Amino acid sequence: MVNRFTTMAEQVSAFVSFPADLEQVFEKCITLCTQKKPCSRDGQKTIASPDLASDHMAELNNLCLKNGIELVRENIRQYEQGVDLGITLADFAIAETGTLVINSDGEDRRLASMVSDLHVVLMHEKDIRESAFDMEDDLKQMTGRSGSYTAFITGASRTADIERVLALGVHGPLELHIMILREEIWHGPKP
Amino acid sequence: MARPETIKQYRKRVQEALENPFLRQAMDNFAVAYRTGRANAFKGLDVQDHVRKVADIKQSCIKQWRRLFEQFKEKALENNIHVHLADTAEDACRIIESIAADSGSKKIVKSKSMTAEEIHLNAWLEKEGLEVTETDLGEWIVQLRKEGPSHMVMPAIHLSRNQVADLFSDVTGKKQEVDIDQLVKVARKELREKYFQADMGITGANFVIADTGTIGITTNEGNARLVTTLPGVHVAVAGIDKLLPSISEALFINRVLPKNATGQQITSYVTWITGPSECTVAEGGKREMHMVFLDNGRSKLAGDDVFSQALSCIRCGACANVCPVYRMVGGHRMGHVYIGAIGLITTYFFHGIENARHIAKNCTGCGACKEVCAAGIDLPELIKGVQDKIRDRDGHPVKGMLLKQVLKNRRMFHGLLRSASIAQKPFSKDAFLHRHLPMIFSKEQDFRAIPAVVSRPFRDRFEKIVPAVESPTVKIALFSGCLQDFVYPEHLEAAMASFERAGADVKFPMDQTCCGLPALMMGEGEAARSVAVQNIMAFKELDLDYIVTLCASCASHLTHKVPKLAGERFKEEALAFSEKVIPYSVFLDRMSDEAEYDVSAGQTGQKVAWHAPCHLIRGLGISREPKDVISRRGFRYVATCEEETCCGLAGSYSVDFPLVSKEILAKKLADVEQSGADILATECPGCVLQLRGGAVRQGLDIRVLHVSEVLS
Repeated sequence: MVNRFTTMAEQVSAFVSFPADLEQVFEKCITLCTQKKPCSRDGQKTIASPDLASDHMAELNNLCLKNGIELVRENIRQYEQGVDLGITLADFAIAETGTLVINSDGEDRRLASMVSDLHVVLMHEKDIRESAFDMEDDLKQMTGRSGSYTAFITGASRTADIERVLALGVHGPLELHIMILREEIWHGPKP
Repeated sequence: MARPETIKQYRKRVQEALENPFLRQAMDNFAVAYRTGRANAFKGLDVQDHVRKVADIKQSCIKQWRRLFEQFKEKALENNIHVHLADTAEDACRIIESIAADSGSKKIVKSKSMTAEEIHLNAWLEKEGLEVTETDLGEWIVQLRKEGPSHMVMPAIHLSRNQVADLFSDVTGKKQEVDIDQLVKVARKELREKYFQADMGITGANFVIADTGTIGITTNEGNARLVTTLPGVHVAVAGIDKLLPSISEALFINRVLPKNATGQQITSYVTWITGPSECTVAEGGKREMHMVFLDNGRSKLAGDDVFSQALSCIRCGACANVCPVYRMVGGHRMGHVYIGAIGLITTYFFHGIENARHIAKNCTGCGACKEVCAAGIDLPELIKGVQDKIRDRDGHPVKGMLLKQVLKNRRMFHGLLRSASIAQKPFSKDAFLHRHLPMIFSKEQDFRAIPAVVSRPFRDRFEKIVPAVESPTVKIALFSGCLQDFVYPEHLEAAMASFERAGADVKFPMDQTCCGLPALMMGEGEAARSVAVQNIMAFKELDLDYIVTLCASCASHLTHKVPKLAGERFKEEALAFSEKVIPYSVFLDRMSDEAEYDVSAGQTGQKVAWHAPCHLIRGLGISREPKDVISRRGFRYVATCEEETCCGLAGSYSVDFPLVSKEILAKKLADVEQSGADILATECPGCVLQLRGGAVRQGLDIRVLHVSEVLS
């Protein structure tokens, strides 16, 4: 199933990788962030990560400090020019279409996946399902809660509105990076 | 109110589109690419089964929309969604205007919504002094150009990158490069600011889910996510036809929608919103959310036995993607707000007869749309129904009324055709005015040579040429149809040898008359019924295995329509008649034995391209048989890209829109020419008329033949 998921996600230009642990995840994020052009006018780079547990945040923050990157957890709305990289956690993934299912009830979580130039999604291999129909009960539960905002994300933001030529990153992220973790780094609902 | 467009003005706009080389090329590339894209997306799935299921879901929801609405409303209350039901387009605009006023909203960002387009919401809100910005790239482009979308999924498909670059240069006051990636980035930057400044976001909804009070929105760009996240107020607007019982149905439709729309497995984003979520700038930390349901004639339509089907539409746009007319003229001439085949129908119901009158005629009835419709809507039949409604309100044209009188009496009808052969004498060298085929003597009709009515119709020749088969293996009667009886008797004559090889005893009942299709297409149902009964009676007393016809249009009409037209009184006779009707090639395929495998007939190794008549391939679902029959005689069948595309004749269509017909024909012939075929074969005299006439006019080295002529 993980192979099918990977194939389908890569077909829609997502980058899929299998980091061994969080350390590798963070290193990769820092590399991605340092290699890109800053989105703010003053050149300050920012990573937004609303969902990581506080010990993980501390770890990531150390790396960010070393590289002159700002790490934020909330108030992402104040970044009108966007953030360079956003990290979110997926609840499920769908192999049939290469889709990530993300509970996005919180505003910061939503914005981290919308106004980031690079969107990094961490997910557990065990959360992959064959199709949306195989997880109807989970979806009914997620969408059944009042005030819920559930996102299916498949690849980067795209458009073909000018001469049907595909262009990535029209409103949302320019790139989607999916990092599949074999071991659980969080349990049950997101921290 | 602007004065409604005249047919002359409309035709002029159509002509302008035909003269726009960029549009033509863009539409053409799209039409060709779509076929492959769709086929790939559905690979490994039973498409028809999916379509049937979508149709079942939508029809059942439409019937119980009121119950679903009440259920949604109840859940919405729990979820803090304000629910509104607007009876008319104006009501919906007024409701949204007052939501803006009550919430003090001045700046609005919108994600794409056909329903908002339907009610002309932007114009209304702008008139009230509100700033409205479309955020879907294509919609933003057409908004800046003060146009409507030219496709439901790709609103700016009619524009080139140069035009967009010029537009964006104007908007930003800075010269923009003609580079699509760069232009997309311009939109990203310009629109990003708008989201942050906006007080209110307006979206449509692809799915409205009753049991949880949830809306589902699909986009590729991600704009709907920003529209429903940054502003403090969210208004969703959707027709009552978007209501579904649960997310299960939505997931199923969503499995079909992107595949059929753009050949994608799924769109980049599908967003499920169950009431206001966190919004840090809103009072109380939660967004204000409204759901505006639009009726605008839908509840009435839902109760209509025939037209309720139109509400099954899931707005994938596929009916435009495969339409031969859309391919030539683009969306702005193929709809009012809703584009494509479905647009020809819904315009009448949502935007009135004034806006539907001319566009409803711009359909060849080829049935390509019905083949790809995600919800299995019988689009050609509904378009025909709308044409009938318009005709009933505007009054029937004289030619239809005359036809009605004439068809009641076969002797009079055939007498007129015979006298036509005399009357045409001075002109018959080149072109002629057929009385039953309403060809007009105009310059615009001159793109194809038009054949003459013969002096001796087939019915007068039959007795002399009918083969004498000693101990027949099969008993058949010929249904000739008017065109072959009076214009192309050679098609029928050529078939005699193959009947003899098949060991058939052939009869030709003299009381047969027009099949009735032209009358039905002109909205003269009574005349169509009259000839249906005349024909049933003409064949009734004969002991037959088959009624063979060489005209695909007659075959389709006799099979599908005659039993419906005949009514209760002739029900049994009509069914017995229809069941025996068989197209020529299918008959030969069924009868084929060793005698048919005569490869010497095509010994020169001539290449034969096939034109699949609409009434044969889509009307009767026949594709293999004619090609097999031709191959068995030693010809080399060559596949062509446009084999299944309409030739553009489509009865009186080519009279109403000769310039479009001409271009459809030109495309078809160019495709055949490219294949290097010596012969273009088909199985409908109407198609022969169009294709041969075009080939002659263009001086092409391709012989256009009826399949019977090829085989002889």
